[in-house]
Amino acid sequence: MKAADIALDPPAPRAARPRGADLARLALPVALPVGLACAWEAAVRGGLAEGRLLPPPSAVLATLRALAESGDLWHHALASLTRVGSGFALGGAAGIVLGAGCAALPTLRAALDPTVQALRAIPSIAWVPLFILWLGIFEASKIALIALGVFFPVYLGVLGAVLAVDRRLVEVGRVFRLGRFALARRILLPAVLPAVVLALRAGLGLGWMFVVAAELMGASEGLGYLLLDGQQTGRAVQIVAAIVAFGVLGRLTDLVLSAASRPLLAWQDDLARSQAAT
Amino acid sequence: MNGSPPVLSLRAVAHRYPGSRSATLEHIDLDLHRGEIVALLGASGCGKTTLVRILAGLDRPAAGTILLDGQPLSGPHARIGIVFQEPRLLPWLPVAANVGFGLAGLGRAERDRRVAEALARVQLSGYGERWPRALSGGQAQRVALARALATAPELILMDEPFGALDPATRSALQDHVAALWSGSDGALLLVTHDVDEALVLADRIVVMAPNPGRIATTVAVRLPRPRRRDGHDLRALRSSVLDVLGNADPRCRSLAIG
Ligand SMILES: Nc1ncnc2c1ncn2[C@@H]1O[C@H](COP(=O)(O)OP(=O)(O)O)[C@@H](O)[C@H]1O
Ligand SMILES: [Mg+2]
Repeated sequence: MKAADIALDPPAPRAARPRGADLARLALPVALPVGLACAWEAAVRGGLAEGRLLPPPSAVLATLRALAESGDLWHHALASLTRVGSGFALGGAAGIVLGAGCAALPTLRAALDPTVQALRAIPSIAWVPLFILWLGIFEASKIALIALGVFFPVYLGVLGAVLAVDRRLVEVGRVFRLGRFALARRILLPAVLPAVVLALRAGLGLGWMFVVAAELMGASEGLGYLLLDGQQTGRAVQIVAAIVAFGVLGRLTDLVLSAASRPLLAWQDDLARSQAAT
Repeated sequence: MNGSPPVLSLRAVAHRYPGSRSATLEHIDLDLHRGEIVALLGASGCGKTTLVRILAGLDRPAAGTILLDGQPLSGPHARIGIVFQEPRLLPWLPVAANVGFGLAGLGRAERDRRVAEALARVQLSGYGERWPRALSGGQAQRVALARALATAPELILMDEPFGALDPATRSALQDHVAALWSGSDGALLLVTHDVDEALVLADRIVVMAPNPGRIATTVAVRLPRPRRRDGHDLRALRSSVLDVLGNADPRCRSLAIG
């Protein structure tokens, strides 16, 4: 396939330039982190730096491998993932239901939205002591914190998306005499879906942020526990390994979410591709 | 005008937007017959869109009666189709699904058949799989027309459907609509502010006057089809319609000429 493409292309300078440009486009974003990592690795190996407080990449990889081989990495990652998953499910569902409800029912919006907006002004972490008093120091208070963090962006995103649906498209539904339910399913839902997916992804990001906060405040398992344990035992390499694991997990869950929504947003995908082509 | 009872009949229809001090429409009397193309001509702001929205069931009149086949009209009706000023295609549906949007009650095979037929009538067979974004303005408006045609309504309302298109596309679409309606027994109410569009397409031109919106006069266009835009008869009629328009609204004369 690739070979055929190349064979069909005349060896014009135009064909050569994009390939170089492609390479640069792929290389440019990773150049900085990879370059810094290599430089740090070289500095530590060359004896220019000690590397105890900021371990070189090879040491971090070795720690990750050791954690993986002992099974600890999976155990802690699964604990964090479960917390984020539960909090995301609770907060996301509440955000979608209340956001859509407030958008559909002006009375509910008038009664609820000002309060939600006021609560949003409180940094979510400030609730932690109360959650611990109410729910104990174990899972429930952690999941409540994560759910709260996820709730706000999802609520705001869904509410805004439904309110912003093009009234002219709603009229198309009315002209074809769709009932309330059909209108919601055939016009409103597809119209708000892109914004809802974006809101869920923002919520998921906050979910990962709050799981760290929750675990730092006391946990016997989870990647946040690895962070805390590394700090208390003075092992920076374990802290960095946990940070890397957080980053990888956060990115992976985001990819899963966007991949799961891709078939539903194919029409947008297509738009992006056709714009990229021109 | 012709012997059969009108498809649609308006009597003393009035409208006022909530909070507005003056009426948008006052005492509109209008009959539409089978197979007839009626152009609703008038300056911007004289209430043409409001009237079309009332007939589409999107707005309610403040007074008056509207009968469709003798039955009072209340709300959107399956036998009335509409083409808006913008295509208003649903961007998340391919062209075929947009055309079949009003056919959800039918079986799959029948729906596919009707969609194919409607697309063929607007000469867009083979465009069914495309996304609306990948259409030109004229193609999108033809898809919107196909969507209205697919449910086989007795009356189609068009609110300045070609207003946003370039002159060449516009006149091509006008010819196309004229060909579609010749021999058809559906009625077409075409809103326009373009005198030539009205003259090329309509059997009857209903001229509206503003403040409040009302019917100033009706001009019958008894010219053979297909009509040439530069034909002698059409030019003669154009100046008389412009005169009527100018009397209906002094602003209009300069608008139409400029
Ligand atoms: N939603 C609305 N609320 C209040 N006034 C409106 C509204 N829509 C239109 N109008 C007014 O009603 C009049 C008729 O408007 P419209 O029916 O759109 O006229 P046309 O289609 O002939 O240009 C205008 O003066 C316009 O300003
Ligand atoms: Mg208008």
